[in-house]
Amino acid sequence: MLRLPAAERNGFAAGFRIISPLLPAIFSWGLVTGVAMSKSILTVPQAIGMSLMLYAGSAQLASLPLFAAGMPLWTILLTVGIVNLRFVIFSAALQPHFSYLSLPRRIVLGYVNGDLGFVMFMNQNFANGYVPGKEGTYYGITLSNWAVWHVSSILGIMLGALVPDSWGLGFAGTLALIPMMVHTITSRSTLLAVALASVIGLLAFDLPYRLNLVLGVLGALAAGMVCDDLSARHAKRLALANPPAAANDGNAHEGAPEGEREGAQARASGERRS
Amino acid sequence: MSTFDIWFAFVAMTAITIVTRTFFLLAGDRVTLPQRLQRALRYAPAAALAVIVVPEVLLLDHQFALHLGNHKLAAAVAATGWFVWRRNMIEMIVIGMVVYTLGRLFQ
Repeated sequence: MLRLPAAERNGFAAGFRIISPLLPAIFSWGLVTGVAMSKSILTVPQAIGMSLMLYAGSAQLASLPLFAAGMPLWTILLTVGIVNLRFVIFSAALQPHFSYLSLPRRIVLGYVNGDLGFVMFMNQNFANGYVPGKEGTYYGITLSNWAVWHVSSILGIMLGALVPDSWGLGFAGTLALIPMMVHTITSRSTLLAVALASVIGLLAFDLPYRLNLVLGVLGALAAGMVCDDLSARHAKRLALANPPAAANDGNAHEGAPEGEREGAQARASGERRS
Repeated sequence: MSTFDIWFAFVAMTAITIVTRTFFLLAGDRVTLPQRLQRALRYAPAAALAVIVVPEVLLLDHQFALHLGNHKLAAAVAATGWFVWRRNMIEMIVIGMVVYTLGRLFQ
C-alpha cells in the first residue's frame, strides 16, 4: 500500500485548510461555468468530457463561442493557448520549488495547477528546493480545488437550464478574488504593480482572447522589477551616505522582501484563524 | 463540426493546456531563472487577479461606471470594506452578494 511520509500527509491537510475558505467560491464558479457549457452547442457528454480534460474554466468559456461559430481548429487552439498564457508565468514561479521532481511528476503537478490554488500556494512563501511537506501542501490545495471544481461544473452542466444565470452566482467568484488580492498586497511595490495591472486590464479590456490579462501581468512584472531596482539603489545610497549603516548593507537589500514575507505569513495565518 | 472533430479539438486543447501549465516545470534544472526575474514573478498573481476583478467591477457594458448605481462596484466596495474590517471571507461574500442582489432588485 502507498504510504506517504507524515510530513506530506500533514502538508496535504494544511493545504486543504488553506484553500477551504475559497471552496464555496470555486463551487459557484464551477456551477456557472457548467451551466454556460450546457447552454452551448456541446452535448452533455461533450461538455462533461471537455471540462474533465481541460480543467481550465476561462479557456473553456472562451472557446464556446468559437465552437458555436464553427471557427477553424487553429483559432480555438490559439485562444486556449493565450488564455492559458498566465500559467506559463505561474509555472516559472513553481519551477524553483519543484525542479527536483521527476518528469512525470512535474507534468502532473503542472496540470493540476489553477489560478486560486497557485496564489494560495505562493502565499505560503516556501523556500526553494525540497522542503518536507511542501509538495503535500501543494496537492492539498490544488486537488481540493480540482475535486470541487469538477463536482460543481458537472453538477452545473447537469442542472443546466434549471439554474438561471440571472442568479448572478458568477459574481461570487469575482468577489472571492478580492481577499486574495488584499492578502497579496503586502508592500508599496506590490500595490503599484497591482494598480498598474488594473489600469492596463481596463484599457486593454476590448482586446480579444483576454490579452489584457497577459499585458497586465507583464506590465506589473516590469513595474515590480523597476521598483525592486529603485529600492535596492535607494538602500545602497542610504548606506553610502550613512557609513555606520554600511555594515548592514547586505541586510538592506533583504529588508523589504523579508518584511513582505513576514507580513504575508501573518496575513495567511490570520486567514486560517478566521 | 463532426463529433470526431469536436473530440479531436478537446484532445488538442488539453495538450495546449498541459504545455502552458508545465512550460517552465518541464525545463527542470536546465533552466534556472535569474534571481531578479524570480523576485519580479511574485507580482504576477496579484496582477492577474487585479486584471480579472477590476474590469469586471468597474466596466458596465465596456464603459467605465464609477458610480454606486453600478451594483457590482457597490457590492465590491462593501465586500472589500467588510473583509478589511473583519477578515472573514464567507461573511464578505454574503455581504457582497446581498448588496449586489438588493441593488439589482430595487434599481
